[in-house]
Formats: sequence, structure tokens, C-alpha cells
Amino acid sequence: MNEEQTTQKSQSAAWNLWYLLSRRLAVLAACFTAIMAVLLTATFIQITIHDPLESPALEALRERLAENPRDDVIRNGIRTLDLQARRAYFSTQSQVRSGTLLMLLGAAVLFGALRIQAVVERKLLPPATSPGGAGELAAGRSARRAMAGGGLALFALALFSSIAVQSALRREILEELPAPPPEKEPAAFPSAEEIRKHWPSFRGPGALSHAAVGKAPTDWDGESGRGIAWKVEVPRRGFSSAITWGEKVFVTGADETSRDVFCFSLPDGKLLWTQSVPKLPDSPAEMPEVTEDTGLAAPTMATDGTRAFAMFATGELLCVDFDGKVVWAKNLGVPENHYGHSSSLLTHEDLLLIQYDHGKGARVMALKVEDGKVAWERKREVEICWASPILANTGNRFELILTADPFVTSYDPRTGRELWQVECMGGEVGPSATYLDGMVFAANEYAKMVGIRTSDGSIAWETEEYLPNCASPVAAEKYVFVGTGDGMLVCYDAAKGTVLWDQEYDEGFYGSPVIVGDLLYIVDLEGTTRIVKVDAEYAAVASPALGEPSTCTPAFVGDKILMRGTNHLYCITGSTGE
Amino acid sequence: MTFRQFVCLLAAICVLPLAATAVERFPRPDFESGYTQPTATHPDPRSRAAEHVDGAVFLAAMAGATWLALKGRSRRGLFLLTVFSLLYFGFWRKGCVCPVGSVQNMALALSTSEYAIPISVVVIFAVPLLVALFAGRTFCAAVCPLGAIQEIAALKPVKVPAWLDELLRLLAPLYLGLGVLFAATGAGFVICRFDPFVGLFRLGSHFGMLAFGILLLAVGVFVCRPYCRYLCPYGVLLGWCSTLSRRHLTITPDECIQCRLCEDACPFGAIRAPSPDTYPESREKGSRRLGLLLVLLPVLIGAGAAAGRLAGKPLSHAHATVRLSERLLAESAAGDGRMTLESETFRGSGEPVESLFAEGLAIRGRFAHGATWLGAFMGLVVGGRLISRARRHYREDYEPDRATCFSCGRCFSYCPREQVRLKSEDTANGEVK
Repeated sequence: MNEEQTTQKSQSAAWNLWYLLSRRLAVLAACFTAIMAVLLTATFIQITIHDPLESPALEALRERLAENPRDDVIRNGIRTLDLQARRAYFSTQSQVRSGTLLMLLGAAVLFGALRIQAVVERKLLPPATSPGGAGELAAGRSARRAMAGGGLALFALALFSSIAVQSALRREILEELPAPPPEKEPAAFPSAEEIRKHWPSFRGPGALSHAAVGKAPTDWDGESGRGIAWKVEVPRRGFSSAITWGEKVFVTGADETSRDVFCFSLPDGKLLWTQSVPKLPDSPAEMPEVTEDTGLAAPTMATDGTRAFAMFATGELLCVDFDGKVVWAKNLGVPENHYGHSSSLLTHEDLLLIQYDHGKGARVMALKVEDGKVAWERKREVEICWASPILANTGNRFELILTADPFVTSYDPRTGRELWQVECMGGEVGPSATYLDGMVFAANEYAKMVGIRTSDGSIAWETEEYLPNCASPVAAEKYVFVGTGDGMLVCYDAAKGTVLWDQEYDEGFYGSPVIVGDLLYIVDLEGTTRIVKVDAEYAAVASPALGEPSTCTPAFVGDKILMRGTNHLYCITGSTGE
Repeated sequence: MTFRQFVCLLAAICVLPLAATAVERFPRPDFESGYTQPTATHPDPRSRAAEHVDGAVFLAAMAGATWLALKGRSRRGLFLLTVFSLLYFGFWRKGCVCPVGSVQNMALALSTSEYAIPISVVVIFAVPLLVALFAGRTFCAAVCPLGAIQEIAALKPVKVPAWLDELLRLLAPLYLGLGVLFAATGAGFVICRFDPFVGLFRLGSHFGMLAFGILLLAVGVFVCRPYCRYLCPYGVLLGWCSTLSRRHLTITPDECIQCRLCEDACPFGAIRAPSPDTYPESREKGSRRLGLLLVLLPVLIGAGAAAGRLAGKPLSHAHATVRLSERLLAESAAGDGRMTLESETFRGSGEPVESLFAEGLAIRGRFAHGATWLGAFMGLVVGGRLISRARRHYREDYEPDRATCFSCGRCFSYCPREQVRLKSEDTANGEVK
């Protein structure tokens, strides 16, 4: 045996050893991988079949909770079981992940070993040779046959699919469709004259606190019932004021379980219907935290004469018709507001105007009254606020005026275009603005009171003397009136901003003042209405009492006053004192 | 590998995707527990610098593969580059963007002016084709991550019977046509949606696709690179370009000595033997057959176009608007009030149903038009291949089939002339040392 043969032999022995080793390694790796595969498959089947959240114990507890929704013991039991199920599930998942990694490792070793085996095999066995190209003709024939068969199969497949797949979508379908409904007439909305006959929103038409009626009762006593046409209990708590249209009175109420709209009959106070906010996709599972003096139903409703709109501290918005049927409902998102959302709604023509200044993003928007779709929406760079929008007719246009920290801003109510903006507010703004003869008046405690010209958005005057914290100012003739939280009723000169008179009362004012003819009505926190003359000199007219505390603004319609106390709704028809 | 080993391997890899399906099984807890749901975050777009790096790596890989296939003649180098491409373009870049899917971007960009195709996509689409025109399918050799993952799994090649190979090769042009049709009509990017390996690169995907990818890998142990050979739509374009290529990888470095050692070297069946000296069939008979097929070609194209026209309607169901239209019509006919999420959403949107139907019909019209062209294209493919198989190809040496050769370099080591070249190189290197 020469040297070359010896070398070849030793090389061959080495290749044989490699082949043997790689083969055994491949077998080992394949066994390991297969075992992991079986285990993983078993785990997969197990977690597929058994839904951990559908255990009988959990189901039983859920059923018990449905019967006793306030039972904290059951809740805690569900929480515990739920947590256990989740823990078990996620630890199984972790095991599956680890198992998968191990199996991948096994598969990688298997691949490597097989690869080595394939390489070594080539070294040991020389490549086989074939007879050569004599069979080209036969190969060509079989290839042509296969190609022809494949082409025919494709043709048949196309034919079959065109027959088998049925379709109802045909050109004729467009002709067969029922004629589209005629273009909807633009939503008819009441005229300004019509609106003035009613009390369609917070602080009346345009939220300007001016009653269309020339006079209203001045004498009543809620406790004895003197001058009270009717008094009914409102089923759920709320700080929203009453609105009316025709013979219907609307208020809202809410608690942890339900957010409701109540409709009462104006003539007799009968509760006509109640409608709750339906379950909406974005409705919060738990009510947002609100303070006792704001609650979940602080925003006053609005109506356009055919529908009534209500909003709650949950961000839920409800539109009902006058028979109580839900027209639409939506959630604007739970507002971030540490007291609770309280901005009231307002309608203008076919739009519902909403001031939505809260911590997660202040904005103002207009929704279409018919369907709640957004007509326009504008972001606002302001802080959380509790004031409500007002609508001023400046003679040549309507202006939607919003007050918040730090701006008083005017928008075009049809488009949302900003008309002017004045940086003058501060603090936690609760009072809304008011408007009279080309001037907007806005005020807030710890900030200032300003008179702003709507012509150019300039400040005519400002003062820091007496400032309200909740009650909005009202302007009439040459005066602006303000009721403060500590019981001061103040008359300012509308042109200069100077104090003409001030009167101190025992109770503060949260409800806003309303001008009725030549009188001003304002309800203090104890429910006593202070009625004074609209004049440069203080002149008290009467101080009738409701008999229960009130933070609401009364509604004036016809010869009636609608006033909401803590628990009751009153219709006052007392004498006018003449 | 024995049958037992294969079964183990198949069983093992087929359960890999099971873990991926067990996600999001839990609803949120019944009660609020103070846990704050994390806000959804969107990853920042890839930086321009990183995109440039990707482009540079891609071009470098193309250049490297071309040099290794044509000049360096290194199978080992090509294999190492394949591993690198798998890691970089596959697992690191998650298989996107790749030339295979870019076919659809091009189709969409050509069919509508509303889609602005990024220049990087055009480059990625065009470069491998241009290189194939000059140097063959070197992109397939070592750059494509889809090819790379199959290349590594190709452990025990078997020869696919010629007739089956020919039949299966019809799928790729069909898939290419469908991909272009769906992209151009706005039905979606099916080539990406049904990419069998992208789920592996991203370690998570739809169960079916993962299973399909793993099945292809398992089949690929024996039938090498099945996706590249029988499904890859981009491979069809590369094959056409490569057929016309100016230069191409050769089996032998200098001259073929007709030793026949390389005959079975190619696991893809891409080595063509020299023409036989004699044929058992007369030349006249072969010519008649060829003439007949040439005459038949327009007929096949016409029949394909007609079949495509017929298939346009069922194919249009791939478009969401057509499906929704059909669903609404079916719901109206049934009248039982049952709705799908899509139909309920549409009805809730207040959009007029007439405009949806009109849009659906317009899309169907586009499908009918596009499918007619697709059918004609398939007729041309079938006819062209029949003619090609009827022709007598005259070859003096063993040569790679330029259309189907992936330039992988497996055949180098089978050639005795290559061994001589390597030895002489070694000797030369030794002398230099």
C-alpha cells in the first residue's frame, strides 16, 4: 500500500466517523424535537379547549353578581378567581414560549446534523451518472403533454368558477333598486320669534337670561304652597335647570345606575315619560368622580322644538324626541373634570352647540340635530371650565361666545370660525358671559370682569371689584348685574364698568339672574328669589321663598316660573303683586 | 435521512406556530382595578440613514453574489452570503421591502396616479432584473431571503419528474398575473399577504400562513426551493431577463470535457445536456409539430383571454367592495336581519347603497378587463412553452438553463476542470507565498 492509498484510507475513515456522528446527533435531535413538539401540542390543545375565564365557579359568581350588583364580597370573589385564571394562563404561555425556544434549538441542531450528513455523504459516494441526453425527445413529449394538460385544467377552472360562483351584483340591480328617497328638506328650525315664546336652554333663548314675558309672579311660598301651581319630586338628583317648550318641561337627573331625562307636563306637573341613556360602546364602566355640588347631571338640556338634548358628566349625549324616543345617542368621551362636567347645551338653527373644555383636550363643536354627526369641531387652548356657551345676535351675525381660562372667544356658530378672542379670564371659570348692544360681559372670581366690544374684540373696560364664582352676569338697559357666591348682588354701569350699587344678602348665589321686564330675578342658595328693580338705584321688590335650597336658574314661560330645588320641580303661578 | 427522521422533523416544525395563535384570549378584567391601559404607540418611521444603509447592503450583496457566481466561482462564498442575507434581509429587516412584493407596487403605480411609489421600491424592483439581464439570477443565488431560507433547508434533493416539474412551473406566471391583477384593481397585495416565510422572519403570523411556510420548508428538504421554482412571481421576470443575459454562470471554468459528472449535480434540474447526435424522429415531423403549435399560439391566447374574461367575475370577489356589495344583496334577499360586522358598519354609515353597488360594478368591470389580459398572458405562456419544448435545442456542452438556473454554484465542484483550476490556483498561491 503506497502513501497515497494510506492517506485516502485514513480520510475515508475520518469521513465515516463524521457520518456516524452526524447521523446519531440527528437522531437524538429529532427525538428531542419530537418530544417537545408533542408536549407543546398537548399544551396547545389544553389551552384551546379550556377557556380559563369560563370556569363554572366564575360563571356562578357572575350570575350571583347579576342578582346582587352591589355585593362587594361577590365582586372580590370574581376578582380573585379572575386573577388566578389570568396568572395560570400567562404562566402556561411562558412555558409554551420556553418550550418553543427549546424545540427551535432542537430543530436547529437537527438541521445542522443533517446538513453535515449530506455533505459527508457526497464525499463517501461519488455522484451517479445518468444515461445521457438520448431521452430528450421523450422528455419533451411528456413536458408538452403536461403543459397541454395544465393549460386545459386552467381553462376548465376558469369556466367552472364562472359557473359556480354566483353573483347578485348585476348592472340591472341599480335599476331595480327602489328610487332613492327625495332629498331631505333642510331641517326646519324655529324662528327667533317662536323661540322667544319658550325657554329652550339654560338661561333661556341664546342663554342670555332675558325672558320674553313682560312680567312674572313675584309672590309665592313653596312651603305653604301659596302661588305654587304644582310641585313634583324629580326622581333622580341633578343640578341642571328646567327648560320648556310648548307644554313640556324637561330636566335631567343621574346617579351611579342611570342617566335620565324626565319630561313633565307643564299644565299639571305629571311625569309624562323618562328616558335613560342607552348603553353606548364608549360608556364608562364606572361613573367618573364628581363632587357632591356638581353631580353627574349638571348641564342643562336644550331643545330645538322637536327634539330635546341632554348631556351628562360621563360625556354621554342623548337626543330624544318629544315622546321620549331616542333619536340618537353618543359619547364624546369621559371628560376629565375634577368637579364634574357642567357646561350646558345650546341649539342654533339645525346645530347643537357644545362647549367641551376638559382636561384631556378642550374643544367646541356643533353637531347636527338630526343625527348627531359632527358639523364642525375646533380645538381650544384653554383650561377645564364649567361655563356654558351663549349665542349673541350682534345685528349682522350670530356669535357663539365662550368663556374659559384664559380666553373669551367668539366663533361663527355655523362654521366654527374664530371671530375674535380676548385673553382676560383666569381661575376656574364657572360663570358664562352675557351680551347686550354690541358688548359682551364676562366675569370670574379671582380674575376680573370685562366689557368687550364685539365689533373688534377690544376690551372697553375691566374691573376686579365684585366677581361671581358660579352665577353668570346679566345685562339690561344700561346695567350689568352680578350675583356673587358670598351673597352680593351688584349693579355695574354697562358702559364704564363702575359700580352703581351693591346689596349684600345672607346667602350666596349659584343660580344666574334673569331679566323679566323691568325686574331682575335671582335665586339664592336657600331658594329665596331676590326680585329687584332694573335701575341705577337699588330697589327691592320681593323675596319669595321656595322652601328648599336651589342652585338652578329659573325658567320663565307665559305666566309661569319653573324652578328646580334640590329635590323638587316647582311651577309657580303666584300673583304678580299688582 | 430516513423516513422516521423526516416524520420527526415534520411533526416538530409543524407545531412551531401553535404558540403564536394563543394571544389576546382574555377580555379586559370585569372591574376596574386601577390598571391603566397603555396608550397605543406607533413606531417611528425608519430613519433615512437606515434606509440608505439597507440600500447599500442590498447593492453590495447583489454585487458580491454576482462576483462570486461569475468570477470567484465560490459555492462556499455564495452559501455564506445566503446565510448573511437570511439574517439581514430576513430576520433583521423582517423580509420587507423585497423585490418579490415590489412587483405589486409597480403594478399599482402603473394603474393609478393616486399611488406615489417610493424610489427605493423602484430601485429594489429594478436592480435584480437589470443584473439578471447582464449576469443571470444572482439575486436568487444569495440575496433573496425567501430563497435563502429554502436553500438552507435543502438537505436531501430528489429529482422531480419532468412532466410534474413542467406542470408546476405554470403556477408562478399565474401567481404573477393574479398578483398584478389584484394590485392594479386595488384588491390588495396578495403576494405579500400570502408570503409563506415572512411570518417566520417576524416570528408571528396567521396560523395558516406559518403552517404553509413550514410545510414548504419541509417539502424543500427534498424538493429544493419549491417556492422559488414553482410559485415565485418575481422569479418569472428574473427568468425572462436571465434568458437574455449577456453573461451567465458556467458549469465549467473553461471547456466542457463531456465527462457527464455534472448531469445530476443540480437539485433544480437546471442543467441541460448536449444535444444528441441523432433523434429517433424525422426532422420533417418535428417541423410540422412546431408549425402547428405556432399556428395554434393565437388560438391559445384567444382561448386564454376568453377564459380570463369568464374568471373575472369570481376573481372580483377578492375586492372588499365587491364582497360587501354581494353581502348586502344576500342579506336583502334573505331578509332575516343577520348582518356581518362589515355590512352593519356600512348600513350604519348612512352611505347610499346605490353608490356602493355602482362602485362594485365598476371594480368588477376592471377585473373583467384585467382578467382577460391575464388569460391571454397565460395562453401565451402555455403556447410559448409548448413551442419551446417542441423545438430542438442545439447544445454542444453541458450548460445551465438560463431561465431556471439560480446561479447557486452547486455544480462547480462536480466539474473536473474546476478541480484543476482550484489546484492550479492553490499552486500559484503557494508559489507566491
